[in-house]
Amino acid sequence: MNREQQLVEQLTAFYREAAAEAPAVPAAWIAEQPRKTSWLQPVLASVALVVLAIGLTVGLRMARQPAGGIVTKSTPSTPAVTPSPSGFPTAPSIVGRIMRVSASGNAGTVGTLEISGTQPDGLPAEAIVTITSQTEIRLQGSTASKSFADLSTGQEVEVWFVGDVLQSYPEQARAGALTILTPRGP
Amino acid sequence: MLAAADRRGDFERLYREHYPLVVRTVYLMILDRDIAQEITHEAFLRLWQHGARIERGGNTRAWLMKVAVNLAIDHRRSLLASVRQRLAPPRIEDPAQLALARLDRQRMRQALLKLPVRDRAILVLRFEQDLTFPEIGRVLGRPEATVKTWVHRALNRLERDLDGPNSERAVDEV
Repeated sequence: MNREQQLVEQLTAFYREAAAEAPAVPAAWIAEQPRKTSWLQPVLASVALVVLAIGLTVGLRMARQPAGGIVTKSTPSTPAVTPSPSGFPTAPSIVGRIMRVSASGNAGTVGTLEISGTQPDGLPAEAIVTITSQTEIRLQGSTASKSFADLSTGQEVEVWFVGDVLQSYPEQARAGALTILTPRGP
Repeated sequence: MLAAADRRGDFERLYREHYPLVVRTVYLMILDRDIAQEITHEAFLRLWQHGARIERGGNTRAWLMKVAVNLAIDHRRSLLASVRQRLAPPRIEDPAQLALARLDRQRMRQALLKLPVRDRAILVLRFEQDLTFPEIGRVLGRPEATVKTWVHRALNRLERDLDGPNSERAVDEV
């Protein structure tokens, strides 16, 4: 018996045994039954998980490290669910005392305030807040607008930030709204 | 309505009659039960969709074999299936003779899985289904002479893979 005949014998013996592993009894025929793709589901699930993981990683990195390497966090620039005042979240970004007032000659910027107080989570915080011409300044309990000139050292204020907050110390941000809690400093 | 019921009845008869042969052929090519069932189902689905045309033409079994074998050749094994086949541990039972037989079978399985699917199809059709060269040619849509060359070449490849270093290593590992 030559090598090819031996090989064919081995092969047919293999087929005889392996054929027993083949499904012999057909399942009931359902014409509309979709094609079984049992292998496809785990593959698709794996792909979806990988994409999700990549998306989360990239999203987190972008949130933590924007261009220039300066760490910032975003504050709502759109109206929140419970506006106070005029379209800002209920809780202010910082509540505290004005430690210093500095007028500014830059275009669009009226001046800056150094505030020492607490964040919404109750932790102590200090911030340098830029007051712009768009900043809404009001006295608590009044709807009348106030101006940068009405701000003075020692006043208690609530400030709502807009845009990015520079995570320096003190943190630096732009004020979207400011409410004066005490009209005059001590 | 009656015609539709008749058609369904005829089809179910064909399905029960030809399913074992078709699924066995595909299984021996692919060596994966799930994929063999998928491909067989697809072949019957096509028969269901083109049933009327085939009935006029005649040989349903030949048509099914042709469709199933070509679907299996076109089938690209999924990553999962290939990993499963690669990682599937050989099941060895205690009696020494049984173990040796299983080792031989495992070697053959690994060698076959290294062949292109078309070569596997040819070997199954020739040595399991016992089809003649012209019959294989009709299934694959190739002339008899081409089929003869392919069979010869597939056997050579199989022999090489069986005697190859990887195959020996696989045996040693077992």
